[in-house]
Amino acid sequence: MKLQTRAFVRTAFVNLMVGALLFAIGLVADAAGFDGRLAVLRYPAIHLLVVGWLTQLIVGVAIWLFPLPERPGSPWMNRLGWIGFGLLNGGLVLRLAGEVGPAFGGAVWAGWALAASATAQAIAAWLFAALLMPRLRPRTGPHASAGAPR
Amino acid sequence: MMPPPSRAMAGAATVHLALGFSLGALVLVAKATSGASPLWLLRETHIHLLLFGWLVQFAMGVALAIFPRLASGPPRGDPRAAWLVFWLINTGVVSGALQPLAADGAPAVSGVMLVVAGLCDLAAIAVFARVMWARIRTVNPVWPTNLPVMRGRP
Repeated sequence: MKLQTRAFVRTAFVNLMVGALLFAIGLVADAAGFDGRLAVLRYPAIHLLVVGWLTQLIVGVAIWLFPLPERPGSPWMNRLGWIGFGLLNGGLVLRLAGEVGPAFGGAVWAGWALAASATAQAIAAWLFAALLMPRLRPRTGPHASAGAPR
Repeated sequence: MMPPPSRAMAGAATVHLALGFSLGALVLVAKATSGASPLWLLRETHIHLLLFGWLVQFAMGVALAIFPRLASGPPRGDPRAAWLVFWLINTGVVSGALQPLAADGAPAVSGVMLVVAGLCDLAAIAVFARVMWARIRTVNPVWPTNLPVMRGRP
């Protein structure tokens, strides 16, 4: 399993744990009447689970498992994965800050955090598409039948 | 080697990923800048694209490629059925994604699109389950996987 995949999968697991914990805190705080402001944690928590866990795990495994392109990709392709990784996880952190900020008096910067989060994650998704698409083309060379995860 | 329907599903799913994230970004920007915006209409489109178009379709495409092959007949089941899954789920996704946008101007059309989306998504899942059912089996009881990366490694 290459380093990039390990980073994606491990970070996905961290997001799973953090997302589940935040969702539980938001749910309990709301239901038990501890601090109503904590209920806002549920939305970024769902985002952490669906984007940070599921999507990140899938992309990480696809980078590992999908057939390699016919011609070896440029080093730039590997960098695309790392940039996408940074943007996706940075976007998740910004989303959390942007959602929670207004409840705790941070309304001024929260809007900027949400907008930056939106931009970062959208760019990450397009980078992942650019990374995976070349690996979905049929192989025609001498190694056409080889599945080639490394 | 990934079979053509798998490649088509994974490719379409990747396109839905990029589109779904982009629409989600617009919704989030609307949330950040104002309380009420027509961009909020995109929220359901964003959810439908990412749930069915990305997550469900990608899982189906990869499952078609890597699940154990059949001992007789086409190794991955009937390819026509796999293509039917591809067309059904993408028709459902496109219909479900466009439906909220038509809700204000043409509610009747929007209702029809919602029904089409639901039926296509359900039919895709049913046909996929039919195709995959026989492939949910153990090939090698000693090392029960057919992932290429695992072959030959104890």
